[in-house]
Amino acid sequence: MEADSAAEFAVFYQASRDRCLRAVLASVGDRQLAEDLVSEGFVRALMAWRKVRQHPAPGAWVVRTALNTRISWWRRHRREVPLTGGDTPALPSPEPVMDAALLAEVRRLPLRQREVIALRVFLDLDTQTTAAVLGIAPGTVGAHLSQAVATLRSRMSSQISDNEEATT
Amino acid sequence: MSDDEATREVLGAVKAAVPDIHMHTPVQHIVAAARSRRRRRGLTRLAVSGLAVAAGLTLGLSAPDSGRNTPGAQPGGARLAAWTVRTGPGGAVTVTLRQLTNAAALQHALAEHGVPAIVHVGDSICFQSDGHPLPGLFRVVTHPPGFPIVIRIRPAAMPHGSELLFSLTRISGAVAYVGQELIRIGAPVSCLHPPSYHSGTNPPPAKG
Repeated sequence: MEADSAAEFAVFYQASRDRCLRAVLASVGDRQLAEDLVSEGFVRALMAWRKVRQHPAPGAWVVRTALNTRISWWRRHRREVPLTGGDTPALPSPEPVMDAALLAEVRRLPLRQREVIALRVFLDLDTQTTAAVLGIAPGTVGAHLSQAVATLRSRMSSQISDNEEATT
Repeated sequence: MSDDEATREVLGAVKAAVPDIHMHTPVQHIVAAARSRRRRRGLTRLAVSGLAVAAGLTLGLSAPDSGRNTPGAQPGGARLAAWTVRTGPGGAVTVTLRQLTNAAALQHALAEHGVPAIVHVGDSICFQSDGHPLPGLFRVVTHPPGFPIVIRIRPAAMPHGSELLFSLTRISGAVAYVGQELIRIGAPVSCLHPPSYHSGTNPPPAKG
């Protein structure tokens, strides 16, 4: 039974790790930190596998754990590790380049809105499952998503206007 | 532009903003970290370690009597002490693993039963090099709980031009992982070795 659980977990890991990594990367912006956080999420998932395997979306459990770990880590280190030039360390080459400006706007969203985006966009969860994972009503998921989209649209429009003014 | 279109546009832009990256951490590191943490916490029910030992006893990869169990495919089912491969009335193939002493022979037996597969045994985990195996593994392979390890395969559900990739992997000498992927026949395969965090790739397993 335990060997079977290990195999089951390993298959789950292989199938979902990249999607979880992208979901967390969108929220934290740093490639290595995202991988560390997702690894931590999977370690905790394995330790609680009997529970997590029953979860409606185990990948979402990992992503939420990773993002909450990020908050705990930041609270512990925010005074000890001052960052200069924003909290978006440069990506080491040869990693693919992100749209840093857009993702910086995503990271400015409240945590709940970022969670909804991570689950809906990167894990392809529907509204009902997202609501179940977050423990909120489906209507609240829609409200968070609408608010996040409106905020991002507004900021994207501002950036486009700024860029156009800069080039004229 | 309607609200729905605007939402799709923004969410599409967010999705496209994150590059198509892949996680490099091998599953062995996840298993080892969980095991170490459980040990530190002094838990007696060390599930991860226990499963490694249980699987090790089951598969016996380092068993010295490997020659005794040299298997060969037989019509109607290869009946072996180490493992068996049987084809059921519905065409489903059942692999029962007790010990594994000859991966090449198991691979051959699977082929005889209509399951194109690569069987790799070792301390590394093998996967399709581009990190994008074919979808639908769960329609092809099921893993009912129990002892010994039983793998049920539906060859009819395998997409045309596909094969299965099995990785039987040891951690600290015991088998702790039975990895499966559905891959394209002939696709490059890589194997990752612990303990290096950013380990390089090893030569892929030999076919046939």
